[in-house]
Amino acid sequence: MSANPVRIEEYAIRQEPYYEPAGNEIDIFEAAAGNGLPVLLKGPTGCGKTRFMEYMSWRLDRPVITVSCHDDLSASDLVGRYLIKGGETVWVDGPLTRAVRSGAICYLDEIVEARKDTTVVIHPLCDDRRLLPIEKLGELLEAPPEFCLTVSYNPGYQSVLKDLKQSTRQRFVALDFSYPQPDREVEILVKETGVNTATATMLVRFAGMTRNLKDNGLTEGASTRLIVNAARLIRHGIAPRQACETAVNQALTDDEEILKTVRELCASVL
Amino acid sequence: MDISASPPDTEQTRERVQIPAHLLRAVGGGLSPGPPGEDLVHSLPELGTAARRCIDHWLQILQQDHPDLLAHFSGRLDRALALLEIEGVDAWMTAILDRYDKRGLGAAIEAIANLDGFAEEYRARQSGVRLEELEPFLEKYLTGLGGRPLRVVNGEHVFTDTESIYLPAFLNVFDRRSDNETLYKLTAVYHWAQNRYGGWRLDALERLLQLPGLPRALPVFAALESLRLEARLALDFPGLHRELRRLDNLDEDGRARYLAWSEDNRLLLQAGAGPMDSMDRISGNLGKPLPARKAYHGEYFPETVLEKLRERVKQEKDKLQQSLARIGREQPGLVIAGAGEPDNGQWTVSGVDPGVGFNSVNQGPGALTLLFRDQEPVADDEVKQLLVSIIQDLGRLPEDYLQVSGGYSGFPDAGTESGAGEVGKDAAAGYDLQNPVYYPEWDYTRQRYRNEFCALTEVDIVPVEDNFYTGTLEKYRFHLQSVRRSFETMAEGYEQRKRQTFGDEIDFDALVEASADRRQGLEMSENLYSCFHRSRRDVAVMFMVDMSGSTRGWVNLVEREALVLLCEALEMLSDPYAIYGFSGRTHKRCEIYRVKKFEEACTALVRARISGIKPRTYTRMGVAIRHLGKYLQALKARSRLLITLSDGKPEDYGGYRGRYGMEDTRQAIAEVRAGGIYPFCITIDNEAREYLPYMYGSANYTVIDDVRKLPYKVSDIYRRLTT
Repeated sequence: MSANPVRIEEYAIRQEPYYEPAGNEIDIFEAAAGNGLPVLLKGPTGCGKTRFMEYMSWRLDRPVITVSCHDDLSASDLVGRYLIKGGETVWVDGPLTRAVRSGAICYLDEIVEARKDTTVVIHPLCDDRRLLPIEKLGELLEAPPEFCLTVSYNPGYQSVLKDLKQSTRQRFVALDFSYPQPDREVEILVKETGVNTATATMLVRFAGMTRNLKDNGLTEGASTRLIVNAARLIRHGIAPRQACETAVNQALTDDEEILKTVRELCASVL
Repeated sequence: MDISASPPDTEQTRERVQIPAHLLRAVGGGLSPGPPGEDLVHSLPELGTAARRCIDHWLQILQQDHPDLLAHFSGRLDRALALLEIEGVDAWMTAILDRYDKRGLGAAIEAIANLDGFAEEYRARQSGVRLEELEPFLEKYLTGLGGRPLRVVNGEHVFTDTESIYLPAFLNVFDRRSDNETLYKLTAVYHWAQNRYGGWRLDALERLLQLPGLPRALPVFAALESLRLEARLALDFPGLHRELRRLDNLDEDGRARYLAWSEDNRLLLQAGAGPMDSMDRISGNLGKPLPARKAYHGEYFPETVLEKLRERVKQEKDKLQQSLARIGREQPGLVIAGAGEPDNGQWTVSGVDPGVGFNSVNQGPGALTLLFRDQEPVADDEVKQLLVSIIQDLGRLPEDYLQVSGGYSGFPDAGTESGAGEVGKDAAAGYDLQNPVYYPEWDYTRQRYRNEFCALTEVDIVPVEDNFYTGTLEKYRFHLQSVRRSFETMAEGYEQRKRQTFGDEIDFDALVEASADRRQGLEMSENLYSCFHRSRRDVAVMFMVDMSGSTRGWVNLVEREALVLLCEALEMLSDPYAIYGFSGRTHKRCEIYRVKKFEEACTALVRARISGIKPRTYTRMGVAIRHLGKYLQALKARSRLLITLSDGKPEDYGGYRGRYGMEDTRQAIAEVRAGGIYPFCITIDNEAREYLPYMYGSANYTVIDDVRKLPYKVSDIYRRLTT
C-alpha cells in the first residue's frame, strides 16, 4: 500500500474545462493568486463555482486538490496523520499539506460545513505569513508562491449554525458568483449538453421562473447544474417534462403545493 | 360484502321497510323477490353492488325515520339516478335527512321535490372551483412567471388594475373541475400578460384614453390586444398556449372570426408588436363584427388603471433613487458625488431590450444587471424588482431615473412623512409608568441616538383559561405528528466522539498515532476509543411576537396557533426558548408582554397566556429588539436566535414610521447582531420584500404569503434555521 495513493500530478486538469466567464472573475483570481491572496467564492449552489476552480487550475497550470467539507472533517484530515506501514510509522500528508508542499491550489468546497475549530487551521495560511504549522512533525511549512487557497460557501443558507466567522472571512478576496445571464446560460447548456437552442432557451426560462420563487416557497431556484442535468436527460431521449420533473422539480422541493406550482411553470414552457 | 350473499337479512329488511316493488326490482338481486336484474322499471340504470348497498342503507333509514319520506323518495329515485351518480344520490339523501332533522317532514319532502335544483347545484359544486382554493397557487405561479408581483383577489368584474388581478369567487364554466382550475390559471395568465407585454404602458394608456369615441374603440382595442398577447404567449410559453387554445370556449364560427382578424392584423402576431401597434389598427377595424370573448378574457377599465399607474410611477421613481443613493452610500468602494451634485452617468442597467422592455429569454429581475460606473455589478433584488416594475410601466428606463444626487435624503419626505421632528409629541401623555426601563432610539436625521428616549414596561399577559391550546392541538394534530417526527430527529442527533478513554469501538486513527508515538519513544495516549454521544444542541431562541392593532383577526389567531405548535415542537428539543409580545403607543409607553420566560416551563399558565395574546396598539420595534436582545445576550448558548413574528413595518405614533422607524429597527438589529445574536424575521406582509432586506439582511427573513400557512410553516423555518 502506498502512503500517498494519488500522485499530485493526478490532480492536474489537462483538458480545458468549458467555462463561460460572467465578468472579470478570471482576472481577479489571477491577480489574487499572483499576490498570494486566498480567494473566497460566494454563490448559490450549482452556479459554477467548482467549474470555475477547475478552469483556473487548467489556466494557471496548477493541480487543484478539492476537499468537500463536512461536519466530521478534523484538522488531521486536512493537515495529515501518521499511519503504520509494515511495522513502521509513516507520516501521510493531508490534502492541505500536499497542496502547500507542491504549490497547488487547495479548494475547500462548502467551508461552512466544516467545524469551526477545523477552519481555524487555515488562518495562518490566509494572511501574509502563509504558514502551515504541522505540530506532529514539528514542522512549519512555508507556502511557495504557487500555492493558492480557495474556499467556497453559499451565503443564502438560512442557518445560524452555518455562518462563516468574521475572523475567517476577513482574510479572503471575495468573488461573488450568481447564476449566469440568460443568454449565456443558454449557451452553456448548448455547449455542455448538446441540446438544441430552443430547448435550452425553454429550460433557462423555466429555471428563471423558479428563481423568481426564491424565498417565496423555494429556498433556492433551479441552479444551472440542475438544468444541465435536465438537458442531458432530454438529450438522451427522455421527454422534456419528465426530465424536468426528475432532474429539477423533485430536486427543488418536497412540498406538494409548491411542487404543483413548479410543475405548472414547467408545463407552461415545455 | 355482497348483499345478495345474505338473503335472510335482506328478506327481513324488505318486510320491515315495506319497499315498493319496482324499487326492489330496481336495486337488483339482493332485495328483489324475483331473479336479479329482471324487469328493471323506469329504465333505471343497472346498479353495481356498492350502489345497491348504498340505496338499501338509505331505504332502511328513511323507513325508520318516516314512512312518508320513503314514499316520496322512492317516487323520485329513478330520476335521481338518471340525474346523478350514486355519490350524488348519497349527497341528496344526506341533504334530505339534514332538512328533516332540522326543519321537519314538510321541509324534507320539499327538498325531495326539488331534486332538479339540487342536482344542478351539486354538479356545479363538483366541477366548480372556488377562488380561495387556488389563490395562493395563482399568486405563486404569477410570481414565477416574473414581472411585477400581482395579487389575485376576488372582484365583481374580471380585469387587472396593474397591481391586482380581479377574478370571480367561483368558476364553473366547464364540466370538469380540472378544466375550471385551468381556466382560473389562464384568466390570471392572460391578465398577467396584459401587464407583462406592455398592454398597460403609460404612454399607450394615455393615448387610448384620448381616442375619440372610446366606448366604441375600447372593445376593438381589446380584441386586437388579445391577438397580440396570445401570439406573445405562444412564443414565450408554448405549454400555456396549448391550454389557451383548448379552453377558449369558442365554437367553429368564433374561431373562424379570430382567424380572420388574425389574417387582417398579421403585424400584431410578431414578437416585436406593442400596444401602440394595436392602437394604430383600431380605426381600420372599427365597424367589423367583433370576435366573441374567450373564456379567459376579462374587461378593460383604463381609467382605474391610469389612476394606479400615475401614483405608482411617481412613487417608484422616488424609491429607485433613494435605493441607489443608499447603495452608493453603503457599497464599499462606491462613492456617490457630494451633496447636491448630480450623479449623472454613474449607474447603468443592462439586459433591457429597448423594444419590448426585456430580452426575450428571461422574465424576471434576474435578467437585469445594475452597473455602477460600468464595472461593478450591484446585486440588489429590491432595486432590480423596482426596475422591472418601472420598465413594465414605461416600456423603458428613462435616463433621469438613474441620475442620483449624492445628497438625496432617502425615504419619502423625511420631514413630512416620518416627521422626525415630531418625535416626542405624545398623545398619551400622563401614562402611569411603573418602573420603566429606558432605552435609546436611533434618530437617523441626527445620525445619533436619543438617549433614554423610550420608556419600556414589562407586563404579564392576562391568562385566558379556555380550550384554545387544546383546540389548536386537535386542529393541527396531523401536522403536529410530522412536526414531532422531524423535531425528534433533530433532538436525537448523535455524533461520533473520537479519542475517548472509554468507548464502544477502537478509534483506529488514535491507535495508529499512539503506536507511532510509542515507536518514536513518545508516551502513548490513552484516548484510543470512539463512542457515540447524543449531540448537544446549543441553541437558544427568543420569539418576539407582534401584538400591534393590525394583527386583529386572522393574524392574531394564526400567531397564537403558530406559538402553540412551536411550543409543542420545542418541547421535543432541549433548546431554551422564550416568548414575548411587543406593542406600545409612543416612546413613553412601550410595552413588552411576557408569555414565557426562558426559565419557565411550558405550564398551563403559559398556555393560558398564549391564549390571552390580544392585539394592542402600535409597532415600535427597535426598543423591543434592544430589550429582548439583552435577555438573549445573558444566555450562554452558542447560537442565539431572535425571531420576530410580524405583520408589517415598524409604526408608532409620534413619527415612528417610514424611514425613521426602519432606520431605528435596522440599528437595533445591528446592535444585537454585534452581541452575537442572529436576528430573523417571519412576516406575513406581502410587501415585506421591499423593506425587510434593508432591516434584516437579504437572507434573514421569510415572507409567508398566505397567513393561514403560518402555523404550518413556522416550525419548519425554525428547523431549517437551527440545523
